[in-house]
Amino acid sequence: MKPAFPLVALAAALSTSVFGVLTAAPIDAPLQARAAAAAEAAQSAPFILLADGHDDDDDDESWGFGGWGHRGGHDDDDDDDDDDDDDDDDDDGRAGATVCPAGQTGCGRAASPAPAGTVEPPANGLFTPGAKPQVQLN
Amino acid sequence: MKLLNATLALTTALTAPGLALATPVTFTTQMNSYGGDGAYLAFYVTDAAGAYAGSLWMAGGKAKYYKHLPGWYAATGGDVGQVDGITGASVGAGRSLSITLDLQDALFDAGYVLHVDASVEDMSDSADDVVIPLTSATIGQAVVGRRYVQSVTVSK
Repeated sequence: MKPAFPLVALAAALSTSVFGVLTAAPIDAPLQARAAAAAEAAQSAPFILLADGHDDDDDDESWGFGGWGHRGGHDDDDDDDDDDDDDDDDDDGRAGATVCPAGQTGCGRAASPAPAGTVEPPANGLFTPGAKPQVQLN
Repeated sequence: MKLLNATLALTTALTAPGLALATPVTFTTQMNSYGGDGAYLAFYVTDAAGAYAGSLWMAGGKAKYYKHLPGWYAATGGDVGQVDGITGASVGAGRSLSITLDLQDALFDAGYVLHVDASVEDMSDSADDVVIPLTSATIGQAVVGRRYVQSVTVSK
């Protein structure tokens, strides 16, 4: 549906010019009304879509071919190692979103976890208390 | 002098076991060139009974994608508290991730098993991409992954 908007906007813009010329000549009122409407539509149309190369259906969590597809048609991070910088923070991060089954603790939030180094590792009995992880990504 | 010796003996007795319990353990993960975006990886441990014991690392910071790490998600229900303070960036294809953690010695030779789940955008999820029994025998051995992970090596 959205790809039709730029075409409509473009057609409206062209029509405005044509009708602008036509208004110099005697024409009937309904046509003028339509021209005015077209001009108004052209002014309010989102021309920025013409320069936008992707559709913005915001289906961040759509499943592609069995996997997750959080960027839809984006192809800008083929060697992505910093997934934290895209701007698709949608409603999943809202407080109160329940992601745990009943009976489990520490649930009730889907916000992202604290990055390494900002807080101590969880006290799950696996880590030495107070020790922070060291990470290297090559 | 006797008091000094007694004090030294006591402090040694109290601190030595604590020092012996912890060991820096390095997990070196080499990713395959699978031709996709950065992979989310969940490193977690199960005990001898196969029950979830805890998480060691989460590569990938957005909780909303954790459901695509099937084994980890089934064990934790997606509880981000399990990976607070042990979460970093996702790992790109062909790249290498090295994590050094101070872990309890009791993790080794006690039936614990390391699991690595992997998931990549627009590609299928991979539960147990790598499974490594945490034993003395597997230390230093590169264990081959199934799909996105080429290998994981545990070293002390």
